[in-house]
Amino acid sequence: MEHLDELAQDRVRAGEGSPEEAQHILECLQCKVEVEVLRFMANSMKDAQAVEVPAEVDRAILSTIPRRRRPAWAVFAGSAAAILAVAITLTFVMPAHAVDVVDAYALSRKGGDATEILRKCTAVDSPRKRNILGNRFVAIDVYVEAGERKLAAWQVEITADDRAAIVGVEGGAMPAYHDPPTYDPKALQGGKIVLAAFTTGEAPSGRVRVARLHLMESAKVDLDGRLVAAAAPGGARFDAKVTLERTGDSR
Amino acid sequence: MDSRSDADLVKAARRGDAAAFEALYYRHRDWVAGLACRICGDREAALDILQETFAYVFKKLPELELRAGFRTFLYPVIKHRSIDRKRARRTLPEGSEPEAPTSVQGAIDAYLNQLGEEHAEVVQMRFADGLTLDEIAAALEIPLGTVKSRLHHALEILRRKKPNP
Repeated sequence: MEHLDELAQDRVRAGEGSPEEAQHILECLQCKVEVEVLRFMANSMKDAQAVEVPAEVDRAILSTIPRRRRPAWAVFAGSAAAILAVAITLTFVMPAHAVDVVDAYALSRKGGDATEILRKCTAVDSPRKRNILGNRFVAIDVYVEAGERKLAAWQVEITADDRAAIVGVEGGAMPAYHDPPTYDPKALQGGKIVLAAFTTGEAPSGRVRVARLHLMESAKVDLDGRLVAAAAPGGARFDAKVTLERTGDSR
Repeated sequence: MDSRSDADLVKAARRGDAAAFEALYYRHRDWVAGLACRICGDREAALDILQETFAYVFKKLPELELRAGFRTFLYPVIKHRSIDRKRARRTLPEGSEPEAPTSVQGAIDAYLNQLGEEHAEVVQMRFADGLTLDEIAAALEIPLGTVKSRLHHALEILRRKKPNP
């Protein structure tokens, strides 16, 4: 396999890589490690130059701006616009996590585009990037125990303790979930991620490996996997157990 | 958070929209202070430079039209002010030693020192400031090819320094 050169690896690190370059990183452990080293360097440099700005400095700077008084009509116009904006928001924009993968699956079955719902339901609020000292990479397999039911849609939330950062996501074992699930790219380098996927094709049953996570850890970490939602073909929700299995140390 | 682009915020601030200036300030404040601290090496001085930089922006507003990114516009302003401060504090008063670096920071400093000033600057703009290669070229007023060449060289050195697995 031909590896990516340094500039291409840096493009992927910065989120500017082409789809082909991003795909290569998912498949090539050596390049993935190189990208993580770059990411670690970048995060360390960012952290090193972080300066806390005291509130009095903010006030001193912002107090120099002359503020125009708004005419009375503008205040009323502003209020009316605000009310209209709130009404539009309440009517048409669903808050994040008010929906889950089963809603996306239902929409897709009706022929709709489920991308936006998947994006919303996997969004991670204010993800905190972690700088993990050490370069031990491990892979964690994510299983949903569907039993005799067929797993047409699933959504799982995974959290790692402070000694690890989630650095990559791959697809699972079955054809239905072979592609990487949907997740929030901002969650990478952090300790919490939400994964979701559905299939309108043949859904697997039993113990289904739905995804594989890559972690960088400084010590063996504890992980917690929680099922957010699972559904059978047709959309009937059911409860299932999530298990996480360490596949080995890829240091 | 204001979702308008930097260019739109600058336009609005030019028309006297104080909220637009505030949004620009909060969007770039931490980066300005961080960059200033990185170059001049003094957190207190960095806060002064933060104030001076936004005072400069405010003064320039009536004629300011962004042809590139806002950070590309700010970079030389912050850099020159920070270098002036650094020169001024070369003679440190007794007892005011710089903070000891952490092991990670020490390793990064050693790497940057090995690169030389021009290459280190490109790496820091890329990694710490998060600028694109085009933005770096515009801020430093050098060709894009030169930026790529410097970054490539710096990353090659980083790769060679890394212990073999």
